[in-house]
This record gives sequence, C-alpha cells and structure tokens, in this order.
Amino acid sequence: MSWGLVNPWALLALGALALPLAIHLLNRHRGQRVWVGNIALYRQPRRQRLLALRLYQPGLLALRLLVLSLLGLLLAGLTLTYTGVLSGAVAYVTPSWWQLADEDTKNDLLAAQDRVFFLVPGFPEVTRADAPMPEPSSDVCSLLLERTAEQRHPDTLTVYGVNRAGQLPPKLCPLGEAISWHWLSATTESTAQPVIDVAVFYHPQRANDAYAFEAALLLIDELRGVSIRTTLQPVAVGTDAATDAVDPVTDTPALTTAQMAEQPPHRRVVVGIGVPIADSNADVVITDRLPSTLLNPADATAAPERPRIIALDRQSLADSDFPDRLLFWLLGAQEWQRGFMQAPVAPERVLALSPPALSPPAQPMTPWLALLVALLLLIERLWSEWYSGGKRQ
Amino acid sequence: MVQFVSPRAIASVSDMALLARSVATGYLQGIQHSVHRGVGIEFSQYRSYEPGDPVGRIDWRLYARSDRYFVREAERDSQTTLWLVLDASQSMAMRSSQGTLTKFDFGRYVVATLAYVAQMQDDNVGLWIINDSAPCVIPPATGIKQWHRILHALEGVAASGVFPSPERFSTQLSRVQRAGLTLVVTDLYEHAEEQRQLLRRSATRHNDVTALRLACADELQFPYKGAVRFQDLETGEQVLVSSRAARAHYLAQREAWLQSTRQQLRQRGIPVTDINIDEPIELALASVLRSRQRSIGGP
Repeated sequence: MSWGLVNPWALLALGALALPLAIHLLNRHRGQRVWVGNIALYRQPRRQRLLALRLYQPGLLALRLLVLSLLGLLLAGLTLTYTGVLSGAVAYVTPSWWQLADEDTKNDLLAAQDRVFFLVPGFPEVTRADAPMPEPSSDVCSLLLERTAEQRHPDTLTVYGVNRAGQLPPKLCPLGEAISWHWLSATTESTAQPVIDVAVFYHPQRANDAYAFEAALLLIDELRGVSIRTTLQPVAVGTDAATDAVDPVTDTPALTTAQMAEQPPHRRVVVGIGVPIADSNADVVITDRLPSTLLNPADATAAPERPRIIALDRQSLADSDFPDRLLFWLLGAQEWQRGFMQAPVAPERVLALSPPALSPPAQPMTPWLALLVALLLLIERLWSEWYSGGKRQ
Repeated sequence: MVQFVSPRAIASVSDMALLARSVATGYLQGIQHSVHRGVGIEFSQYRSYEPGDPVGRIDWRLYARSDRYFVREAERDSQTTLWLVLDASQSMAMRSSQGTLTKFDFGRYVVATLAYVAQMQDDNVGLWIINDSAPCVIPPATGIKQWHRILHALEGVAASGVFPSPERFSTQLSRVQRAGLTLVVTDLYEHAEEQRQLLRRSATRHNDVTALRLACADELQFPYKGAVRFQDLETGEQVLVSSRAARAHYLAQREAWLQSTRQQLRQRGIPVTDINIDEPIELALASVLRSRQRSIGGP
C-alpha cells in the first residue's frame, strides 16, 4: 500500500497550518478577561485547571490542524495504491526457460529462491522441478509490470528467461535495472555471437508459394510488447468477397475469405534476430536459428524460409518503441494492413496502445478525505461548543 | 400592573434623587409604612384613609359616626436612627457582562431610596461609606436636607481600594452600635473577616443589623465560555480556567460560601438578604423591607 499525490504543489496550502498555530500561541496566555470581586471563588485545584486548559485547548488545536492538513491533502489529490508484499528472494521464470532448463538447473533455482513463479498470466507458483510448463506468454515486460503493480518486492526480484540478451532487455523494459536478469541462451553457451530469438511469425502462405509473407504477425517474446493480445488473434489474409483487388506485394489477385478458409494461414517460425554483442555497432540479422521445438508441428518438416535480413543499428534497439517499428519493418506497411485485415483488432488500435504504466493503479482518496474532513469539522464544532460551556452568550 | 424600574432604566436616568423618590413613592409606598410602626407609639391625630393604608388601621367607630374612613396617626416616642452603610471597596465595581450597573451603582440607588423612605418617616438616617480611603460619614439627621446631603455624598464617591480592617473605624463603629437599625450594603467579599467583623460588632442589643448582599447575574449563572482569565478587582490576581471545567466548581464554591456566611451571621442575629443587581431595584428593596418586617414580627 503506497500513497501518492496528484497535485503535490497543493501541499503549499499546508502553510495555512501556521495560522491557527499562531493564533493559538498568541492567545495561549490570554483568554477572555473578566473582572471579579472575589477571585477565591474562581480558583480551581491546580491539577484540574491545568488538565482543562492543556487537554481541551491543545486537543481542539490538534483537531483543527488535522482538518487543515486533510484539506491540504484533499487539494493535493491524495491517492492510494494497494499492493501486496512478496518478501524474500522472488524469481519469475518464463515458460521457455522452464522448457529449456534441465532439472538440476530448476532444482538449483528452487533452492536458491524463496518463491518462484511462472511469468505467465495468473503467475502460478512453481514448487517442483517437474512442474509442467504453462502456456507460453509473449510479453515479459508487460507481465512484470503487471506483477510489480500488484505485488511489492522489497527484497530481490529475479527473472529467468531464454535468450541471453546482454543489455538489450533491461534497456527495452521500463523496469530496467530494478530486476536481476538471468538469461538462458537457447543456443550453446559457447556461441561467439549470442543470439536473441525474438520473433515468431504466423506465416500465411499461399499454396502456390506465389508470394510469402515472411511475417504476418509478430510474436515478441522477452521484449516489451507490440501487444501480445493482438498477436494471439487469428489472422486471415483476404477479403470478404471476390474483388478485383490486387495484392500489392505480389501483384496477384487477393484471396477471399473463402479461399483463405480453404488454404488457412499456418504458423511457421521463420526468423530470429541475432545480435552480435561484441560489436557495438552491430546490425540485427534475421536468422533461422530458432529451436525446432517451437516450430508448428504441421510445418515441422517444411524447409525454413529464406532468411530475410533487416538492418538495425543499436540505437534503434534501445528505442522504447523498437518492437513496434520492428514489426513495421518486418511486415512492411502494406503487409501490415493485409495481415490485420480481418483480425478483430485493428492495427491502429494496436499502435494506439500505450506502454504499460510503471506506477500501480492509484485509487483517488478524495471522496474519503472529504467525508473525513466533514466528520472532523462536525466533531470540532461539537467539541468547541462543549468546551465553550454549551451555550453562547 | 406594576412597572418596575429596570437597572438599564436606572443607568439611563442617572438622577439619583428622582429615581429614589420615584421608587420610594411608587412601588414601596404600600410596603414601607409598616416598618417602624406598632411599638412605642402614641395617638396623634386622625387622617383620611389613603390607598395603601392597611384596612386594619381604619377607625371603624369613627367611620360609624362620620361615614368616612379615617386612620389613626401615631407619633413615636422616639425616632429610630437608621445607619446606611455602603461598601465602597473596589470589588463593588463588578458588574455583569450584559449589565449596566455595577454593584456600587446599584448600592448607591438602594441607599438613596432607603434614605428617602427613612426621611419620609421622619427617621434619623446617617450614611457611612467604607473603603480604605478617608471615611465618608454623614451623621444621622432627619429631613429632606439630610437626604440631599446623603445624595451628594453618594454621588461623590467611587468604588476603590479594599475594605479596611475594623480597627480603622472603631470610633465610627461605636456610633453605629447605638443606632436602632443598620443596613449594610455590600458584596461580602473580604480578604480576611473584616466585613463579618464589622457586621458582628455593629450588631448590639440596641442595633438591628441587616446585610444586603449584592450579586450580579454573571456571578449567579457563570455564563462564560472557553478559556477565561478571571482577575480580581482588588488584588489584580489572575486565574486562567476553562469555563466548562470551572463552572461546576465555581457554583459549588459559591454556594458553600453563601451558606457559610449566612450561617455565621445568622448566629449573631444578622439576617442576610441576597440581591441580584440585574433585577429591578424595587424587587430588591421590597425584599429588604419584607425581610425587615419578618425580623420585627410584622405582617
């Protein structure tokens, strides 16, 4: 549970606290002066008198200061964020890591960490090395952001994923250095140029192979998302009815939906991106070095597509919207349009998705503060009346 | 319906002579006559019945003969001497927050009115104003001129200082002890027992002493709110209290003090009549005169 302020500058209004405080201090030794004939009748036992003056008046002052403070917080827009706490050493493993890691590695992980969770929606806890791998999810960073918004990790948070990325994932993920990253390379550790496998494509491919999308949809794993949800949508390339439309890429007649149903697009892993870490100015190279286990079984026997090469400088990789642009670069604008032609989610909406917020969702406390202020004001009035003797002259 | 003279009206009139005459000849007319009559008087003459005269004083035999109402006029064997003693200490300068008259102002009007009543009855009336400055004494005498002297003295004095110890006024006290009646107008606020000593030493078998204890509404009700700093008029001592917490204690203290002083003075045959200065002056005077009637066994 944490507190926040919408308008922190409004806390300047708390300077008004000095007003009642000054009035109190100035009047502390005054009081209404009344001349009497026999002071002896007005003397109280010292203890009783001091109690009345020290308890009631400072009490009223404190209450008034509290009301003013709450008013200041009301103006400042106090918000409250509810989060749970996961103390101790907490680790999250991606399904791909869980799949690739051997049992000893898993046992080591479970022994080293206090609690281990799968980095998938729902964040199921892992307690055994033989736990089944959950359904893979694509966007590590979105899941991490979601998790850290719900649960606070006061001690350590470690992420175990596939693809040793060097500096790449922390740079792309808003959580950055707050997380310890442990990447398990999908390839051999001795690879001179570590490979980052970031893309798995749905590949609508025509039967006659007249043209081939090397990418129709991009599934980005271990990177901030181009919206995983969108990539999970079924994709069909084609039009609702036979038209004279021509596919701009292949300059051939576009497929209708019926034709697409007969020749459904199928999933095919075609590329990966290799980043030579040693080269500070390396390009991104699309490769075919993804593990065969990720291939669509239906196409497992198919020969890999010819790799398509896209050059990116390192500055582009560090750009926060790199995956989005990567998608465009991979697909091309017209391919993008066709790829999503009949998808439930329009590409414009995908592009409009704002990156996940770092801050957990904050609950505005304004109504509760206003209620509390009103209640305290009522108490203050009643107390003041009571203190004043119950009636005014 | 009787119209009383409120303290606010008294403050606005500020003519002590007029006010005393008005009160004495108005509301008190039907009360004051019986104060000094009944014992030790001899027949003097008849006079026509006037409203206010008790029916019992009508001479019915004469009525049977003349078919007119006559009452018997009496002439006393000796005149009564009335000493009016007014406490002029600074504590008498107290008044209510909403009041217009101080205790001293109210006491002056009471004294002026009683003096007028006394001189109307041809009684000797003297005035003694007490504070720690030079004593102001008007020796007893009769007549309207004496009343004017008393008025003059009352108008020339202000409440100040403290009530002196009885040793300072022993000479004057011996004169008072020989009077027939002494009315002491005071708030009975004292530092030691100076006022009670005065009252006790004034009360002799020749002298009936009555204390008129003046109090204002604020003293009776304690209507204050919040933090209040009470300051003594005479000593300047201050007490800062929470009115809420102090009210019950004050009222209990005051009640205990009232009972204590009343009890002590009653043991010496000195009745104490409590007067609220924020009530009409006639009510105060009527209660004084009725108290006197009871003390001498009148109706």
